[in-house]
Amino acid sequence: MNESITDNPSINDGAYHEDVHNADAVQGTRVSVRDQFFKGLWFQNPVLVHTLGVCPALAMTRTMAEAVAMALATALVLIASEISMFYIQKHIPKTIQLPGYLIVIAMWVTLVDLGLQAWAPLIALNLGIFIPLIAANGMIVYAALNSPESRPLGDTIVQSMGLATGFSAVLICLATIREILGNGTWFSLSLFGSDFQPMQLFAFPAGAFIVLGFLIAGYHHIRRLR
Amino acid sequence: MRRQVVALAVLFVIAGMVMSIAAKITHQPILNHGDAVVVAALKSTFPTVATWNHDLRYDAIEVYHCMSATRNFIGDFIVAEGKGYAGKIKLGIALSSDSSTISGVRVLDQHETPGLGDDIRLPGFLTQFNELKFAPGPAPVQCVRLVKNSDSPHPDVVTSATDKRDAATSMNCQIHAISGATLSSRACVAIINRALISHAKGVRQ
Repeated sequence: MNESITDNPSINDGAYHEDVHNADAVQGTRVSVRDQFFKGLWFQNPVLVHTLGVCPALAMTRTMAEAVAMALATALVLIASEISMFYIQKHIPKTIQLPGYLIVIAMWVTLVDLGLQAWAPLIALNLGIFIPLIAANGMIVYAALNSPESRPLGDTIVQSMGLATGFSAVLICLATIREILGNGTWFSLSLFGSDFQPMQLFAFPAGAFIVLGFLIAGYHHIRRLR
Repeated sequence: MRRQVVALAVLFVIAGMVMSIAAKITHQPILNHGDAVVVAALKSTFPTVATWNHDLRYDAIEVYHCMSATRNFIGDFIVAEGKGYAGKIKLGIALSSDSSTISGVRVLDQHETPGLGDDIRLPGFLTQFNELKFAPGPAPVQCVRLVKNSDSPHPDVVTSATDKRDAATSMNCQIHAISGATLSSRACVAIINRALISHAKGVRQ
């Protein structure tokens, strides 16, 4: 009954299991820029593999406009925090690295929040509490804790861009499905005319859970096929 | 231990300084943006507005007296705020020139629960106020009434012509609450009612 993924022989067979843990296995060895980018985008996708950052992925995907704004704000905080930490982590003891990371992440979230309020007020109004909540996004803390000290700056940036792109791709997929099914629109443009009867379930939080479940299932199905 | 404390303290100070500088830089744009949001809401509810007089204030509401390009009075835009479920809600209410109809309502600021109460800013809730005729009266008379979806009278209940007219009149003043966010919906309607009553009193004076 309580069979874990690694106990499941059908999953252990083939390249699936190897791919999922591939990134951990190669840590410490030099991998290509492309592999590092695709690690965050596909093989170690924060939402589909690690179910990190699910809160904004569910709440901010009712419309494409919200999803794109959320994805950009999170990507900015992630990449800026990673670059800052690259310079800071050499100067702080290992035992206080986590609180150090949290201070840096909180600082970048505050800067993005203030910037949006000042120069993109409508986006700030729409994203609301989810901008400050980026500071609690598990994906960003995960990225910070998984960046080895010895890694060059270029690799850090590429890998954070991969993670940010993977997170953004999931948000955009979720928002596309939810906005089309739940409103009959995409980027607020009507796709089916006035006669279309939207399935409003998909505009509600329950619809977000259902779509995310299907996305995760589809992702693992594709991984298994390959 | 000492090295750890010093490292964290230095990090705190640097982060604090960066945030202070950012707060100082963005302070004025954020203040200006408050006016910009009101003006954008005002223009979206009164598309023909050319100028407005912002010196009017009745009780706790701010009133923008809106004029067209030909200097005709087209209506008042009221800015009112009140307590919501999770914080302050600030609304913009556009009134027709004879102050008998709400032309539209816009949410200028809110801190309601994401995914539930913050749906008050979405068209599904706000479009109910478009061209909403109301009967202003002294407090505590409600100009606009909130109903839950299940409270709506069934069409079959109305039989006579008088009943139909009465039902139609009362339906015009009814706003359906958002499912799962009754308190936020109720707060919006309360803010609007208070604003309409204050406005009516102010106009009479």
